[in-house]
Amino acid sequence: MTLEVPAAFAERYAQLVDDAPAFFEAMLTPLPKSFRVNTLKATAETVAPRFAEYGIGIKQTAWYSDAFVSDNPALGSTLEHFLGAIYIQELTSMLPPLLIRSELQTAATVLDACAAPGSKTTQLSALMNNRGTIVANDVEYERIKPLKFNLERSGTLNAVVTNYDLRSFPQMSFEVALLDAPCTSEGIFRKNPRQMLSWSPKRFAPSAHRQKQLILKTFDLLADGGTLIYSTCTFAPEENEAVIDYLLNERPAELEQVKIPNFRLMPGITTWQNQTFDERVSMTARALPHHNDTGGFFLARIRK
Amino acid sequence: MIEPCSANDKSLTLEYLERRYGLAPELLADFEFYASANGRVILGPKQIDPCLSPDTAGLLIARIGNTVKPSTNLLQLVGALILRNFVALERENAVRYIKGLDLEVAATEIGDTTEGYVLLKYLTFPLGCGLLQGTHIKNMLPKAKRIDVRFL
Repeated sequence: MTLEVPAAFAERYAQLVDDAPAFFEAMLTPLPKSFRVNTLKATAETVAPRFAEYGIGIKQTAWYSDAFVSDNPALGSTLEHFLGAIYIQELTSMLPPLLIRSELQTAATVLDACAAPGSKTTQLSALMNNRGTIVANDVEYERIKPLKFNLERSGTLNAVVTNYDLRSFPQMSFEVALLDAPCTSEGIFRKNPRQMLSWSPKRFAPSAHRQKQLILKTFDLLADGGTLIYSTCTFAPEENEAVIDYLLNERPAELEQVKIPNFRLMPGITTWQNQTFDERVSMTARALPHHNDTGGFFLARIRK
Repeated sequence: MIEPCSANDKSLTLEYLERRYGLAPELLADFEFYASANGRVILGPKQIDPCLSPDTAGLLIARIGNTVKPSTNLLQLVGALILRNFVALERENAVRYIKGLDLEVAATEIGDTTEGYVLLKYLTFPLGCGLLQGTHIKNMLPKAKRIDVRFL
């Protein structure tokens, strides 16, 4: 069976992206395999020659020296995977921690608000070189087990795992927070194209409602002057720019420009279906599949 | 749930790691020791806000029963610094270990290593923990970590 992008999906997002044919073509193309070198256990310089010995082709990305892509599906059968020297992770999933790379050098307290299965938590820990404390929280108890497994495999010492509904998280104060919010996940359709078959715009409203609650709570947990990264792996403006616009209306938040050298990003939009957002929302960014051959992602960098 | 580790369990663990593997206690000085159920010793961040109820923290590094049993997590993380009581495996045995099988090794491969918990290495890579009994090594790799490794 040939998979096609649902007509309503195509109609909706043709208005949003710069090059609709290229976007839809990328959406139907399998996502390249990718991994991150876990610098708590190895370096890119030691890992790359091992893959050359194995005959597994890998290519370092231009925007993150620890990120590699490969056309070989056997990454999970390597010694490096067993040792936790690499972490198999979608490229766009590596973007949020990179946006706070400089803050992580000195941060003593970091919140990963929706942490499971731990891809970003382990990356945060590596960027902190196991210093400071990361509170890795997830509301779903069954997702705590894989989170703990991935933290252990990566040699993460500086994480504390909690299982709160974020909305009832104890009142604390963090220098840095990451809210990779649960979303409708349109950006990972390339990974599992069959999910496209059950796509429905009816899912946006309940998801956005939850995201608005989560972003207010996470912002409230931030120390004055602290930095919050909000991200999703979906295209829906209702779950992205509209959530940021809501935060700007509800709290004294400031946005900072999202920029990743050598990685092409599209600025956040300021109008969508009769809605106009705060002009500052254009400082957020979207990663589109056809720009860097990745999944789709949304990123906002917020200062309290 | 985790709680502060008793001074006795902390000191037992540190003494064991130094005596058996030559790991200096200062190596772990930037972290705090915590305790969990069934004698589990956990190494985690220095600061955990008291208003949190953590499910867990840091890494399980050992279990204290009749003796101290180091975890594979710990041995993989600090394996490069271990000076004694390790066994360097041949490729075939490394594959078997990662698959979760027990091993037989030649007396010449054991060298000065004494019976008890040992680090198993392949080339320079610390694979994990095994229990050396004569020339038999009992596989102590947690089931969830076992894989059929094809590239090493």
